[in-house]
Amino acid sequence: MIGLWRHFRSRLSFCMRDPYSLLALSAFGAMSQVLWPSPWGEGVPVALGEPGAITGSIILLLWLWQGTAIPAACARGWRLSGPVPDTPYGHPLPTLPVGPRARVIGVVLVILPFIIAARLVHFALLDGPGWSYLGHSVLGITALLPFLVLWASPSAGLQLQFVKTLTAVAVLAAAGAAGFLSGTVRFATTTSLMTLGALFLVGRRFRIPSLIRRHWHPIRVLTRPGLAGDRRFRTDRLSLVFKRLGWIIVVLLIVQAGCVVVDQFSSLPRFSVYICSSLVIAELVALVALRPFGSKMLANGLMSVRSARTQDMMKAWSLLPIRREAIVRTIYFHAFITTGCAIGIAFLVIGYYGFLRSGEFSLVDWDGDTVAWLLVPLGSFVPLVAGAVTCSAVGDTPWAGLSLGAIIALPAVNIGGVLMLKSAGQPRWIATVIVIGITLLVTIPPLRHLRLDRRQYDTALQPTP
Amino acid sequence: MNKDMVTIKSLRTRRDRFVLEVNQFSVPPGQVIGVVGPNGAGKTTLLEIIAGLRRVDAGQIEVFGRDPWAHPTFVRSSLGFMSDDLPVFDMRIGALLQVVSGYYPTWDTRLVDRLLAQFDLDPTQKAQKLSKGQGTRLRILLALAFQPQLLVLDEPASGLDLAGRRTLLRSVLDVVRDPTRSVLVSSHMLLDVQRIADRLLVLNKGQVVRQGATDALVGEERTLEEALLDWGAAG
Repeated sequence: MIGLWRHFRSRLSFCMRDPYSLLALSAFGAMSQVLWPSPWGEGVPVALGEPGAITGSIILLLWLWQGTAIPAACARGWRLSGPVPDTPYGHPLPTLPVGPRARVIGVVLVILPFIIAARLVHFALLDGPGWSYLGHSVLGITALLPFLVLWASPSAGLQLQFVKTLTAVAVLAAAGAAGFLSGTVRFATTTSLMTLGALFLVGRRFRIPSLIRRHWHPIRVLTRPGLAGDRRFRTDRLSLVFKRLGWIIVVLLIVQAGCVVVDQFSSLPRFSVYICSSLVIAELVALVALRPFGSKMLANGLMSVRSARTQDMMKAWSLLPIRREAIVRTIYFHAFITTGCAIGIAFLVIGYYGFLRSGEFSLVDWDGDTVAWLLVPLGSFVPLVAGAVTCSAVGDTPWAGLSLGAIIALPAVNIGGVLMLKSAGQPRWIATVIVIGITLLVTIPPLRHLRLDRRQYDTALQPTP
Repeated sequence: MNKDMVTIKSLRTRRDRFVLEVNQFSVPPGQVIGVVGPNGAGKTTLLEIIAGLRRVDAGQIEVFGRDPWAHPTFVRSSLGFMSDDLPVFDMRIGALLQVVSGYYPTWDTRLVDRLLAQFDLDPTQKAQKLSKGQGTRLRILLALAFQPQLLVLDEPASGLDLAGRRTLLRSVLDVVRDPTRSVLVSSHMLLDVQRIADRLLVLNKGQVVRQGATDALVGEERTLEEALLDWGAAG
């Protein structure tokens, strides 16, 4: 208990002093207003036997699953020199005399006050007692706990974190389908049991079996024909990522096609299939765009500012006989093209589901207005991801951070702007112009890294006679 | 045609408050050159400049007759650089060797097989999961595998056990058995350096303290460690 208290106190005091953590956790707390009943609307209903409750739960929990990425903020300030931890949630300073469960509970306890504070503020704003709002707040937090615990407990790899939390989503959805979430007592009991289960799993090591990988990638030949550096690089920059990640991309595309087929022939909630499609696309972007040449150095680099500064990707290539600017340009265009393709798929998927709803390929919201303006940030992602990836590769940490910040902030700016302008009766393209302006401001400066460094060739020495 | 593999004249480079100045330095073929000095002397900076990983602020540097920063493709086709700090691709060793081999027409498969066995490296192991010593062995293997004309080793023995160090020393001596190839090695393992280096370059605080033939500089009565203490270049 003493260790838990010390850990909680040190984490909380750090978060309170760190503006980034404070902002991120406040935003996380405020987001709960959107997720379950708030003074300004119903939000997404917590499953209490209402119609469509299962779908609502899945959406809610997927949102929470994304939101629980916030514990990363709680690891700020701990990243020291040495290899990048397995996951951004990895235990820092493992030699501290604090047990793994105490560490996890300490991190979860840091997050909860921000949610409770946000709920209490809105409870105070309610007209009347609003006891049902309080009840929903408590139930929402119990549903949130297993996911927070799972995210805060480290795994052998980032993929396993996703598998763990998604498994919890599936378990909760199954519990809902079996009727274990209908009724306050059942709901609280089920989610509490899940939290206990998640706590029981803390500190236990799991691994994703690598049988498939071994089977698919037997290493028999250690060499290939040697070519001149530039010539070999020209072929590698196109093919290496697909050689190394090709089968994963194929599996993801099969899952994507499966979503479409399942949606046609089954009675699954349409929105859950749509969410699944979105996740597949997000995975494609993360997998391919952040792994030029099939190496995850860049993906690791983007997890922390310090790792980005080390320029691992550039250094690893710098020993081979290749020009520096060729590597930088390849990284930029790789990220640009793969993100563009993924965004293209996203547009198609959104268009497809729009077609299923309205019978037309025009994308409209519940009022019948076009949502094309809302999709602009998706297009902005292409140069932003390319810029973030390139800046991370060359060690331009400020612009890498700025690009990532823009990627996170632009959807909110756009959606918020469009909704505000719509309610004010103003043209919605103003929000789009703002988004494009921000995109240009952030995406143009990284292009300087693609320039040929003329000076180095001007000063090149001639062979000594 | 310049016969020296590396020629440096009035080189000056600054990194924050650290300044490295080398007035005159050359690496002739068929020799092992030891670069020694205390921490922060500028050994790594000099080796990185020679490998074309860092540009100079003033002066001239030629590797195989060309500026290594301006002609990285040409220089690195014949220069093998090994440093413990340099990251390797996050792949299995076998896949890594396959990728890297494609960039060198001179890749020596037999040598790679031999070194894999000597260094006890399993091609199915992931490069990122190797221990420090194993990572050092892999980096040395990558630097040796394409039979570079100039082998530049920055602290190659750090993290190596006795067997690894013996293999390393044998590999270095194998390289210079060919009179057209040279080795430039920086290390704090002074006994090893004294044993294999034909010439020494002694640096301290970015300045060249001594350079010349090892025997002439160190003498027969003292060790390199004692000599460094005498020259005030022991840190």
